Amino acid sequence: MCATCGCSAQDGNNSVTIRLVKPGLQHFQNLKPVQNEDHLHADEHPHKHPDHTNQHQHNEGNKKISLEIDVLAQNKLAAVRNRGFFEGRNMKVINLVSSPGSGKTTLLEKTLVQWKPGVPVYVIEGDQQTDNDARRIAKTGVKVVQINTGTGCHLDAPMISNALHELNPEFGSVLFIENVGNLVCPAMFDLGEQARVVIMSVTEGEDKPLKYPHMFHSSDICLINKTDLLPYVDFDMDKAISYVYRVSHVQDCLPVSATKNTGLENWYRWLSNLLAQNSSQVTAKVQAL
Amino acid sequence: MHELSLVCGIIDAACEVMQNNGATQIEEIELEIGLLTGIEWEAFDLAWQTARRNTPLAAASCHIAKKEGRAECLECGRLYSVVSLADVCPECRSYFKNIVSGEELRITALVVK
Ligand SMILES: Nc1nc2c(ncn2[C@@H]2O[C@H](COP(=O)(O)OP(=O)(O)OP(=O)(O)O)[C@@H](O)[C@H]2O)c(=O)[nH]1
Ligand SMILES: [Mg+2]
Ligand SMILES: [Zn+2]
Repeated sequence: MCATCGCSAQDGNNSVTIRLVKPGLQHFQNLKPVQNEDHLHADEHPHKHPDHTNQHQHNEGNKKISLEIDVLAQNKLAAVRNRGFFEGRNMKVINLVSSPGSGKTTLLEKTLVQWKPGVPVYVIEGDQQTDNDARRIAKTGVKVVQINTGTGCHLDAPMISNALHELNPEFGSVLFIENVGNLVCPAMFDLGEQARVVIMSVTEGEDKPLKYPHMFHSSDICLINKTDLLPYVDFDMDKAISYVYRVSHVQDCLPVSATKNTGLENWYRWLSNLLAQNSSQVTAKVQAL
Repeated sequence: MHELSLVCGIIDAACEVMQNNGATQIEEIELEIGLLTGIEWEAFDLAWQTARRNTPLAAASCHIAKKEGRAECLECGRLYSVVSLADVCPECRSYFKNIVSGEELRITALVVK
């Protein structure tokens, strides 16, 4: 059984797979899974502070051990390693999170075509079962690696570290990571990214931030997507924005329509600012959870 | 769903400590879990009952110390209890805060045999 993802060794269908997706390939079954058998984080447990253990004898044969083990330690350690890798290669890494269907892939498709950072751009796609999104991304000509999490509801840092071997990103590049569509679980799992972007859409209701505060709390910027649908839905933008600020410290809250190209220039400006920052100036938010 | 992830993490870490101590069974486990972690207790319980089957924790008793959420107001500095991340400072009505506790997720003790 792995440390932080929900897969258990008993369930053979549950293995995480990672592979490069190229344009033109029709079925992902045709692609050789790179990491198929290899259960990503099995058997590489870092030592969990044996020094901190403080033992004394209990009743016959029983021994009580005092510990201070952070359950997420393994993920945090891998995230710190990823962050070091990104800094070493002078990369900017952005983790996109949202409920299913808020528009992560659509926003990425637009961004990859319209934003011109002048450096190589890569994508890691997280999805439970399919590589549909990765194929959409591959069509833009950008190098994309698919991670299928099986029943796992989030990407974790060891998965990203494995995907990086596949991707081998160039010095000074930008990497977008599309997380599994889920507003709860990805919040707890730092991937080593320098910025986390939470996307909500106007069809979801303005109280999303209050219902799922953790995801907003752990994000650096919030995009409110599908503003083209505002005339048809009951959505109070000002209220939504005030709720976002109530539960988070986001730098900005940007209303956009990914399909109608509205407001995207603000998003690109934010990205370009991030890119212009020195890696060491980016105060990465290490997850407290 | 991530309750299962967390439970698997707990079982894994506990089993490693058990092995490092030359033991084969875990009698008791003590956890410290913050109330701001967003854990759903029903889901956690279900995950715990399911995942520990056929592990050295199958018969272990589990004690959970739930830690209340506390925040520091970034406007006036007041420390206050929070039940939700959306709570407001009772002093100055600001929402701007740092969480100082309630996000713990730790194994604090094991009794092994
Ligand atoms: N009207 C409108 N529809 C949009 C907009 N952005 C995305 N959509 C639609 O919303 C649906 C879901 O978009 P995706 O980009 O696939 O969403 P996602 O967040 O990647 O979804 P998952 O990967 O399944 O979590 C698609 O039908 C998109 O065409 C928008 O700005 N306006
Ligand atoms: Mg998508
Ligand atoms: Zn205050």
